[in-house]
Amino acid sequence: MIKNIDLLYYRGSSNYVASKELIDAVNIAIHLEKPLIIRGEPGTGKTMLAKSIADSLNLPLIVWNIKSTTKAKDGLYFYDTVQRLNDARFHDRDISNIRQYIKFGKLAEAFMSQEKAVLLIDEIDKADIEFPNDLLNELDEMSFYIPEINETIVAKNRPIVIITSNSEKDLPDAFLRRCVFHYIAFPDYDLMKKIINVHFPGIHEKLLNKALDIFYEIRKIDELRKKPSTSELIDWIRILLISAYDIEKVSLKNLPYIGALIKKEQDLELLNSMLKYRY
Amino acid sequence: MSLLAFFYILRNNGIPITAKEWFDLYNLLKGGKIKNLDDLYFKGKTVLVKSEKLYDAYDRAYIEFMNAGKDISNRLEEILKFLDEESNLINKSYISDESLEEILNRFNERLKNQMEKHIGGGRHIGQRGYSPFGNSGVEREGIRVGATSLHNRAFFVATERNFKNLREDILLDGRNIAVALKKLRHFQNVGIEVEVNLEETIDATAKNYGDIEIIFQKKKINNVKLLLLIDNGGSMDPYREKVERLFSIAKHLKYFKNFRYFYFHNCIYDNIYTDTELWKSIPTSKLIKDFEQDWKIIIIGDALMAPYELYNSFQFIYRLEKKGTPGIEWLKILKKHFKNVIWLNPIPKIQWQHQTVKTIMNIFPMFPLTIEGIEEGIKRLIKKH
Repeated sequence: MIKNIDLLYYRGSSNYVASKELIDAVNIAIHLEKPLIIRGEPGTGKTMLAKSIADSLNLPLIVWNIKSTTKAKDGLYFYDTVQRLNDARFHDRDISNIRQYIKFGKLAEAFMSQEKAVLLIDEIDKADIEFPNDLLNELDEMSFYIPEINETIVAKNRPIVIITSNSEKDLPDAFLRRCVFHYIAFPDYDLMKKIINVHFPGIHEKLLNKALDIFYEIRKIDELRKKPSTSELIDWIRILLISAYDIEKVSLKNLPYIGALIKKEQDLELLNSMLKYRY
Repeated sequence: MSLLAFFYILRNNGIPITAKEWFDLYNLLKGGKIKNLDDLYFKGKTVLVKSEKLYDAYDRAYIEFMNAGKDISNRLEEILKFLDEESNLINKSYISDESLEEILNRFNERLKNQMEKHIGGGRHIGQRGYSPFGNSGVEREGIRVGATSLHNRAFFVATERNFKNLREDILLDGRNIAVALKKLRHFQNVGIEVEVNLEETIDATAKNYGDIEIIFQKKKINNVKLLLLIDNGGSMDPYREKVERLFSIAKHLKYFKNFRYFYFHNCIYDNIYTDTELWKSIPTSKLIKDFEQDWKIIIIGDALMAPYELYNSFQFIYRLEKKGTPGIEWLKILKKHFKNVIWLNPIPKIQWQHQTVKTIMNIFPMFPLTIEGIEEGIKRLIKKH
């Protein structure tokens, strides 16, 4: 028996380089209808993945950015009592219609979407440690109840849920059990080449190799507070291209526009002193 | 040899899979998503392993599963055949319109049977699970050098000293400890007034003859981040149960914004450990880099050691380590970096006469590991500076 969801097959998209394992993981999540937790260093394209899935499958993308103050309920709905109070005072609207004071959150939006949606819950570990537990039921049953209007919102189509995490905090077991998991390793040299080529089609091989050599050399320095990641590399290459800097002159000793790669003052100092010492 | 053996091998390698994950794997088989061994490996990883920290264990388990018994070429066929059978079986059950629960129940039944069978015959799996640690056997039962135990100063203890039961799933009776720890919650970063207090708003509005007056209140967040550093040294053995209890409660309390723990041996040196066996470590300098100064630190240890274990630059971990920064320096670095550090000592206060205990008391406020001591310590931890 072929389920409808089996017709959805993610193959990666033209502007996003995904490894075969990652593509498999996405398709498994789609097939099992379970949220996919994506973990990995910053700059490994965790957030971009959801966009790529939405693009490739031609589905709407709904993004729920998690902040340290985000509560699980924020994703469901918000009952605007103050507005209602205000309306009662000024007789602006018929306040007996409570429905108009219910504002839906991102999760609800994904549930109520007419077509299957891709829901990105971005950086789940930024929220309180209890946050994932509070979402267990809603993600499991893809429904929730609103007592104020005595109504249950049920997902018309189970959304494809992508959850990113920087693994600052361990997620609760009960939550993990309901999800599938994939760790995006930091791209190796060859994969990075492909990624850069997607961003800068036809980039000169010499520049590419030189930039990558230096990039990976800098990443080897463990003492850096923040190692440069893919997005920094892309910025740096962009500046090198725009400024038409003579690539022959670029070396570890002479790093133009280094601020694009290294963002922290201490790291810059560290790098400078280390390079002096080493080379 | 069935696919279920893989289940046990995975568990023996420390991957905490349950029937739920296993059922996901079955669902993939059922859906025809696993057609070869590559699929089994990669797709299995996605549904069975939920942390990159376990990826290595998964690799070991997979190799073990593939190697179990015969040579690989035979295994390939055997396992593929088995995959076929399993998926046929599952497909049949799918057609018969069994509910998922029924399948799961039946699966659990099979699992139970299998488990019973394995207790006798399949025990080798369990032991093989540890084979990657083969060396450990030698080291674990290694020599207790200089373990004269005179004044508890075993300075180089090479025996096992794992808090084996320091598992997070054991809830010990200890409401008192929980209540004491909850006081850490009192220290709240209230921030600015952002939330509407509905009741007070209605009250104020009524008093205002219906003119709306909105009353805001501060948001209540428990901002406490707690870091436990636990001495796992041999001299701590008599106090293991106490430490376990505190640890387990702190872990389960979930009142903190963040809770982390590390282990050390005797004193804190260049590396600090993430496991009780002291196998896995991170540099202590990284700990200081990664944890902001507003973390609350509770160090639990007896502070008993030979003076040179505190002052010398040799670091006495039970596997000999290289020269590094002396323990005392690390303690001072911790004190300098973190605003709030306390030391809980399981030894009765009356016995705090030892030289190293006195030295450490001069660095950190020290409290006995008793209810009163914890309460006092918590008060100190939430003190503003």
